[in-house]
Amino acid sequence: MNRLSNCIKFETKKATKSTLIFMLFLLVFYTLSIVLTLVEHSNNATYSSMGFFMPFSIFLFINVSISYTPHYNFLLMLGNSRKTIMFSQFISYFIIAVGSVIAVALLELISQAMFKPMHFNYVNLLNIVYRTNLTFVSTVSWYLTLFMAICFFSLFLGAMRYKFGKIFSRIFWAAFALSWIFIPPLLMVSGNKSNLLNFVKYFFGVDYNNGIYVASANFLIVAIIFGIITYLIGIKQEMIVSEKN
Amino acid sequence: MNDMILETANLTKTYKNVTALNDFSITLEKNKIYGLLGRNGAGKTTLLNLLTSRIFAHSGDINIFGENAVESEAALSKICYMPEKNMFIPKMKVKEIIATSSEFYENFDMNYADKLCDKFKLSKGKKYHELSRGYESILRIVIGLASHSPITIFDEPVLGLDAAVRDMFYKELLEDFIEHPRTIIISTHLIEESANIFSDIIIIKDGKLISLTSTEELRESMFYCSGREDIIDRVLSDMNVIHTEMVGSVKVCVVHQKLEASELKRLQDENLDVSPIPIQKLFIYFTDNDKEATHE
Amino acid sequence: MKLNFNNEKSIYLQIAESIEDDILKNAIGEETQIPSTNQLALIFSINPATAGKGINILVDEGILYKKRGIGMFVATGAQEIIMNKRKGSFFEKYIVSLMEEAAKIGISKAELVSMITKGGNIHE
Repeated sequence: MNRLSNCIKFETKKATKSTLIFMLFLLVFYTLSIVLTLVEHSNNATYSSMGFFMPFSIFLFINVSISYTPHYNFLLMLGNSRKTIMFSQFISYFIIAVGSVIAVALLELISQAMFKPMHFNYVNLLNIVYRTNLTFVSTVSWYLTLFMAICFFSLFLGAMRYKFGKIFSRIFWAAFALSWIFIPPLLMVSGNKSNLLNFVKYFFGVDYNNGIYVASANFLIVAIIFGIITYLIGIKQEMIVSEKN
Repeated sequence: MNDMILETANLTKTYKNVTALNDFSITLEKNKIYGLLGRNGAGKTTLLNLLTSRIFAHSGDINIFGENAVESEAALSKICYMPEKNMFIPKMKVKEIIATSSEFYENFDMNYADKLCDKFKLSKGKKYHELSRGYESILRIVIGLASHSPITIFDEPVLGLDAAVRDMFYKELLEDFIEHPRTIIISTHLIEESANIFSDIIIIKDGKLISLTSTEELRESMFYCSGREDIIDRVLSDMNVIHTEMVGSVKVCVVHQKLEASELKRLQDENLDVSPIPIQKLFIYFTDNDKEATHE
Repeated sequence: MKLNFNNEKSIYLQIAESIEDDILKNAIGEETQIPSTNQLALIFSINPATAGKGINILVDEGILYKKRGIGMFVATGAQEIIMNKRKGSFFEKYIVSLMEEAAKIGISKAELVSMITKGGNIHE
């Protein structure tokens, strides 16, 4: 138990530190961009937290996966069992997901508080997509499960990278880049004919009742599935140390 | 045996079609300093990685303190294994690395770690990636020694260190070992200079255990015998000669046998010259492929 | 005590001999304490087990004895024990090799005897 909490402490501290630093940078640019648009467009401006949310999510996605190898090896060297290491990763990144929700929530509140008196249009992303009244619970569940999905899928990528080496990363990103060529046309088939579009709509709960909860459930399923796969990969993983760690 | 703390039975590890460790069985006792010797690729690091569950065996058992040690935190928490390759996080500061490590070794002595940092001039404010190769080794030495783990393992601990610092390490190791007896295993290629601190020496060849004896027994297990070729061939005909060389018209033989006093007299009476073999050369003969030399 | 070891003999034997030499020279008197196994280990940078082995030889021969709770002491009569022991091997170790070397370089027995007398005079 002591070991597990020490591992969690370590992972959480490391992830929090890099995330906070990135958030600070992001806030500076976010504020700067708002100020600039303010100066340019005055009353016709519309703001959302998209400018913060997207880069932050991408950062999480990348940071979690590149931390996998160094953290895994470090904790393994210190005599931890793989079970402890895997569990500490899941718990730590759950904590990070919660922290991220709090960060986004705070940002929303502060933004709204700032822009209301200025009579600017401030829109909530989710309002546009889901067209329902957002509650605290629904918003939190959407963000929390989404961040969990991002973290655990990223952990999965990290575990695959550890197991297969650089070649996995290269193939993954090549496939990701190529998908931008194939997917948009598939999405743009008109009418109800696009299966892909229907699936995407289903996954994000768009045009569904309680769509936001549908999306949350799907995000949670993604998180769980990739969490399990990551666990199964990591629990039997032999140590691999490259010359340049 | 009550003194036994670590035991492997029929440990085998294969990589693709290479057998790194073959039916390896060994018993180690407490409060001894073991030297682990072997040629490059003999299987030393494979053995150490198996003992600490960093890799998994194809077959065989590993028992530490009487219990199965594979992926067992009860066993792993009693071992501090400082590897040759880097497993630290490059951006972490030395101070932070030591502090984090201390949380995972229950006997860790932070005061001693600080003393060692001062003694070896390791600056705690530096990040790991800023350290030179020598100081990377020193960091591993600091953590390994300060851990005071019942089983402490060093894989090539003195890489990149100058002679004076290596000397400091051996002295410090002995001093701390005397004050806090425990089992220490050192895998090294620097045989001649470190042999004196070992109580016992383990020799691995091609994934097999070919020797586990006290250092003295190993030193006494072979000797040089030289003299005129015809005399030597006659006198040593019933002895285990594992290597011969001609130096001019003098034949020099390496005899793999313990020399009793009476035997020594007999050889000297025959005008043969007998001398001990420096331990590094002894190791080379032992692990050579000239002739199969095994020693229990 | 000499601080370096050569490759000629096992280290524990060299430690034993080194202590014997010191006893003969009176550098360590009888009934005085000698450094403990651990201290010897640190002085010579060797494993305590090796140092202990050297000490044990001397204990077995009655040259040293252990005072419980205090340490190792030089026994009374240790000098005599060492001298007798070495007298026993003196012939083999020195005389025989002396004769062999003399024969090798052509020194006759008579020349040898006069050399020994000359050497004895210098020493007195």
